[in-house]
Amino acid sequence: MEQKNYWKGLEELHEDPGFLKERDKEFAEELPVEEIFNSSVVNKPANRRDFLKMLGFSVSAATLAASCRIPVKKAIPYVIKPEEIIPGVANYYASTFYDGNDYCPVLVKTRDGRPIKIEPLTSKHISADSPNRYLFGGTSARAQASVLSLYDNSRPQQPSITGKKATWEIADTEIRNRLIEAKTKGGSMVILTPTLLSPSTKQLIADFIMAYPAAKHVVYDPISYSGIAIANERNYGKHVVPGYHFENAGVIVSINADFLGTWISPVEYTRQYVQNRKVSATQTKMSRHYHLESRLSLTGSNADKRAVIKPSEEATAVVALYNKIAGLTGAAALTGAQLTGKAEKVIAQAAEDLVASKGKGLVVAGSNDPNVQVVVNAINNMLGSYGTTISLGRHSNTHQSSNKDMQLLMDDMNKGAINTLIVYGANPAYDHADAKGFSEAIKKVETTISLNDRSDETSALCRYHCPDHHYLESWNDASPKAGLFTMCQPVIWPLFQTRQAQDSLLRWMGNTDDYYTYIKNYWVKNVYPSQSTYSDSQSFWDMCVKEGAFEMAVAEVNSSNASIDAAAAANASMAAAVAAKGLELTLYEKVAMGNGRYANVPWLQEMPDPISKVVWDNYLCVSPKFAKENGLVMDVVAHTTDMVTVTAGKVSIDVPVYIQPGQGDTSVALALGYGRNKSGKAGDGVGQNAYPFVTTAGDSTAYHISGVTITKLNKKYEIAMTQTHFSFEGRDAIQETSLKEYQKHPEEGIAEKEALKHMWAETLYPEQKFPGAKWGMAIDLNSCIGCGACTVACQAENNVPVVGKTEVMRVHEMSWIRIDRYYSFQSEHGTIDKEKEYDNIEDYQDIQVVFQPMLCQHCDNAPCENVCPVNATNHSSEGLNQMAYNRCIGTRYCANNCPYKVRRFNWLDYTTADVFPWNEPWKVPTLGIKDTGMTDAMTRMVLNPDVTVRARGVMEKCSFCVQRIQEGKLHAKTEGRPLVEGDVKSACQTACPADAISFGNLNDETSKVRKDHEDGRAYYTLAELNTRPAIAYMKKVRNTDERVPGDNKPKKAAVHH
Amino acid sequence: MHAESYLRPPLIQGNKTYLQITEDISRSVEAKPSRSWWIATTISAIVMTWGLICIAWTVWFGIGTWGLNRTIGWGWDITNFVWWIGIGHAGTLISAILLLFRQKWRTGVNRAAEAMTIFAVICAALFPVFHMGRVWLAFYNLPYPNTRGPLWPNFNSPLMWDVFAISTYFTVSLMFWYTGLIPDIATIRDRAKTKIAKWSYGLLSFGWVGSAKHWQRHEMLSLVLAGISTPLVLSVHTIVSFDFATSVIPGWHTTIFPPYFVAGAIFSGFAMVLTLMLITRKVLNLEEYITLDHIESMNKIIVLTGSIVGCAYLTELFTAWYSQNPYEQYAFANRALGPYWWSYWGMMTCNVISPQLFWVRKLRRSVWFTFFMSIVINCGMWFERFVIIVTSLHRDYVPSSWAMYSPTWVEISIYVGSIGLFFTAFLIFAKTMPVIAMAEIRHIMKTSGEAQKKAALAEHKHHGHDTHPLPNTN
Repeated sequence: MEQKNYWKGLEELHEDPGFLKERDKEFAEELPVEEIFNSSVVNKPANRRDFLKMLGFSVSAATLAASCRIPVKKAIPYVIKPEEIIPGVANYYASTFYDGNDYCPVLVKTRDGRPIKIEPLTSKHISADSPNRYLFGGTSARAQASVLSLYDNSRPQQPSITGKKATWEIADTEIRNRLIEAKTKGGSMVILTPTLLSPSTKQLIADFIMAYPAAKHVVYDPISYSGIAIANERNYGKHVVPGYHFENAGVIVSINADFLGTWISPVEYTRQYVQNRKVSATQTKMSRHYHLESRLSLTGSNADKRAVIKPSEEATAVVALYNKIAGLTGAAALTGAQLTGKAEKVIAQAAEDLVASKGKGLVVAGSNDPNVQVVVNAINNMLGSYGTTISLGRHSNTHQSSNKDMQLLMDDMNKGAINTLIVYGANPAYDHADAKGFSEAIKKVETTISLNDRSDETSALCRYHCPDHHYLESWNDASPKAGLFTMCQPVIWPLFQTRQAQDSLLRWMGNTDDYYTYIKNYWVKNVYPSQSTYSDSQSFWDMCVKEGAFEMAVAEVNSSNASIDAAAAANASMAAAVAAKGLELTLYEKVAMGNGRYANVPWLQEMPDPISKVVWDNYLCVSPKFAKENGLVMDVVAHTTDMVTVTAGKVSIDVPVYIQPGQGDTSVALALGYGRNKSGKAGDGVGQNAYPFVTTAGDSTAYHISGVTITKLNKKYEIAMTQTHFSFEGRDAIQETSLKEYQKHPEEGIAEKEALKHMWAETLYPEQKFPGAKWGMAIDLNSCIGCGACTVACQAENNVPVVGKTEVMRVHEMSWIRIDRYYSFQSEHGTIDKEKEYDNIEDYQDIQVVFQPMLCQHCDNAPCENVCPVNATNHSSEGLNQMAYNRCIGTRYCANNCPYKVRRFNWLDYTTADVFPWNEPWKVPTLGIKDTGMTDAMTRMVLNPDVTVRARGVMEKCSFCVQRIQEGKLHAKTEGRPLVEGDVKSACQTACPADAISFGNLNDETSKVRKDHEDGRAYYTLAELNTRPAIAYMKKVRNTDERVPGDNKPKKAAVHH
Repeated sequence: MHAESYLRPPLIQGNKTYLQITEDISRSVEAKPSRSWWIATTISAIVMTWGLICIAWTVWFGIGTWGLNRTIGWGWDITNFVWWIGIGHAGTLISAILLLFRQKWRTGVNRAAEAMTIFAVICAALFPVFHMGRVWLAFYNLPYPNTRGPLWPNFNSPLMWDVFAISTYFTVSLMFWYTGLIPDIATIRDRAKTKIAKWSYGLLSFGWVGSAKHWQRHEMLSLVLAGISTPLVLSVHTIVSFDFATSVIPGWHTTIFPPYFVAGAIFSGFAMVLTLMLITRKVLNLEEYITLDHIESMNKIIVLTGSIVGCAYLTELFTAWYSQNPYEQYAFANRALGPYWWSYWGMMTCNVISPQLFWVRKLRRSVWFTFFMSIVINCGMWFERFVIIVTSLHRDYVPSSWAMYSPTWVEISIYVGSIGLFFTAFLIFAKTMPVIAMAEIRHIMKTSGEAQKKAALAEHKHHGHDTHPLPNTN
């Protein structure tokens, strides 16, 4: 192509000689250089003053030039900017978090192409009165932390064959050849997955089975709920876990079902549960929650009435409840053993309440014994709960595993009858009760293929590892409940050379479609016809991707034609109960860690357990009485505890002991999900694997075992916990009342607050005015269940560092928001809430728990602000107590003077923000801190670019998500409107599944937070210090007949003036 | 010159002449350093160096190498700071207040006490500086004009006040000390035999020739500095106490703190002066200048300030009970009966009970007992600061955050290192400068020397008055 010539003027075009002459000169006229250098100025000798001036100037100029380094910025702009991406502005995409156990529809926040935060999804496709609405709008700690697992360096980065890196081409060719060979030989194939929620994937597996008719699909979940499904199959002909509706329940009775913590769908149940817990002057009724359990669970700690049973007494308790209700309603009683003590009283009372509110009761049991669940079905049927609090039509699609199938598979594998095993998402080599047996059996399978997205224990045993994408890199769909569909879409280009598992299956089937097309076709074919809103399938699909969810009408199952043989079931279940002898062990999931899949997520490892406040470990929970009898000691101050050997049957492991008030005296408890050895840098070697204690028999899997022996070892173990004091010492920071007392004076708190504000006004200082917005928060202690989702959300949002077990032990944890957990005990002398009265406790099992999320109170009269010598912490005109990190010199005076102890100091270079790498915490020779991998370049991609990463030696604390406030204000500004409710939501607020946190502008009289502050239940913690907090707590109300600690407090008289 | 009763025991024993005084006191400066001096200095310097290494360790890795935590933000660091500052107070009290009260016995001990003040303040200053998370930004504390607004320090913060209080204190003490030294340095200079000594002492003596004008200016400056120092004795520790008193923490938030801290400071300062002087007078043979009367006088001050401190402790307990403030009550119950009970009872024993033994004259005049007590009191005062700082912080308002604190080897080493620094500095001072103010001793010889006293007594007898035995000096 010919070079084009551009010319500046006609002279240039015509190559005018005059122009050519001048063309190469830089200046049009000669510079008077000669003149200057010949002049007298230069020749004049410099005098002393001039010399000093020149010296001064040159030194300072050189200093300035040398010190003002301009950093090299490497910004690579988009060549073609995607329409939706504005640098610095976040995009949100609807998606679904599901890992085989936990389900949560989410909204993924991405910044510049990087997912950095998980928010709860609210979808326009879900109507305000949809029975599915409680699945939306909340998150769990695990959903929050799932974004971190994306940036995990220990994820497989490409396919591998027998542990050696391979290319996709080679792997595909080999696998396809082997599959075809197997097909011709007639060798049987098995696809092993956890419960799949994706209808498209299920369809795809069906197609795969069509392509390879010898293939079979086996569903295996590490935590099984098959008991419920089997019971429903027997009684109602439907092998499903039903949909539970706690929002419709006035009376809830739970027998060992930790439905707020880990049971089936805790986020959904939490949202439902708190609907009837938010009391106010206009809504003074509240649900009553009875709870019988063998350990102190998150749910039990929120119960109004709680009693302790042995794990083997689940059946006894259920039968006893049946009999009490039968006695009240005139039905025939079942035969069963009697409960004794408090449990019996609680059951009797629960039965009365249930009968009194027929149709509004709900009984759930955590037992995985189908017979127990049959009796539970019988109770719920007697109470008329079906259709109101239980829905068989809108049943859950989760947890459909069959123990029988898995057992059969293992037997077949052992026999060498399985030719090909494809594992997708399951990790039985770690989480099966007989993991060792599985590991042996898998060796007898000719072709083993793992599609897992992690290099876990099972993948390590497979010949081929064809790693799946992370869910944030994947297309997928999910149907968590009958009639409800949610979408999962990729939000980042795959980080590694992984491939979506479904794509791999399609490839191996010889199908050239990609999975995206496959899902779309599935939706267009199966979901699209069920609606009439969208007239073309493309816009339907687009809107489903945008809104992330779609629901369709579902017919309710008629429960009246139930065939329940409660008597036979009772007999069968009682047989098991009677067989239990000796000490019993409960196996449970921790709220943070769950089944162990996320062992390599440091955020979850460092999230304190809601009850024990222990991090980075599992441990044997024993009751104080048991510990005393067996000489077990835990020193919370020294962070040491005794080690014991737990033996049950042939299994025996060494674990540390944690003395847990509220734990049953006749049983102990141990968490599953620990003791991984192929999870990654952070998770390996944390805790002990308790899965071998799980017992499987035929169709049922039991998570408790009897005949356990505990032997004390002559060894101490270091255990890290974030809270070492149990009682709140009867202090006003915690306020609670009984429902009865509250109903008498729901407005009482208002007068108290008025009196208080009068006291606050007694000051010499002028009052600060907040003319614009005044940010504030209200936390409802009655809604807060203590789950800890907010703490992980805060960590993700605000780049809060992970410090590791050693540093937590040294009381150096960095959490900006923590959940304080306090115990009080019932005794004949009333409530015991002071440590010095602990000797009067008759039974540590009679425990009451209160949770208090504690974060910076953004005091208007902040003790931290006036003590900072350099003004690094100060008050904004919008009432924020703000930190200027680069001004902070780290005297820690502010932290000392903070009565709430919410300030966190960067003791070491946790974030590796220092300019040199040689002083990273794990390089301090004497401290022995383990690197959790949170600071490598890959993991740092999760950091929120709107929040400063704090350096060593700097104080930090909750900022009320000031970056969100700023974003909200700018958003309102660009739209040319005033700031309104909902423009700004803090990270903890959005994460909370219980809607316990309201946040906003206190100057806005219509805002929820303002109304909450003015509510009769609202109080300020340590208000008597005149700190004037911006956070109001709303008194906890216990729905009990007895008086609770707060009721005995002298009421503060209002000041009249 | 003030007339003085012959009844007062002489402050200088042994019939000294001006020359003898000069020679006695400058002997230690002029002689070759003894073996014991070398040993002591080497040990001190090694300990100091180890402390400095640990400071470097702290700056390099972070405050996380200490045992402090989320709940207890100050521990040994600020305990040591307050302890050292307190120790320094005796020097100022002796130089300024006792001067104004015309306590002539101060001349025997003031030089060393003032030197002790300087070194103690240096040791003290180490802690607030190096306890900062980002010590390289320590200059943010200073109100200097800047381009950030300008951004000033927070004048509401007691830590800010500390910066001014301590720096003023250090400056004034240093000037006072050095002003007093000038005539003595000139004496050493005039007696010096080597070239280096002549040159260096000459430089340090600022050209002092002992002219009347020099003496007049010297006296004037001393008086002015004494005037400035006097309020400092009260203000410095008052301001240090504000670090705690103005906070909201139960156990800190107390109006009694200023007098309580000042009394405690003088109490511990005198104990430290005694520790040092008892060694010095023995090692340098200065028993005739630092007599048992000096020691007794100081012990009397100790019993007074110790009793004030004891009263303060009891007042605190009373106030906590009387206030009916649950947090306050818990804080004090926790001090006495909580996990740190040993520090509280250590403090009570060392500071309140044991100084009361000084009511016994025999014990007041016992060198060994006094030495023992001086150590006990310094331990007790260290406990006091530890009790105030750590036991108040470790269990304050919100029980969820209650925690425990124990120092790491780094913190302990820095503390021990500061003692090393103190003794290194003091030993070098004792070797290079006259530890007793020669000029001032000469100044009082005419009134308080033993010969002069005897002469006065003889004259008194001669006039036919009743005979009074000389007060017992042993």
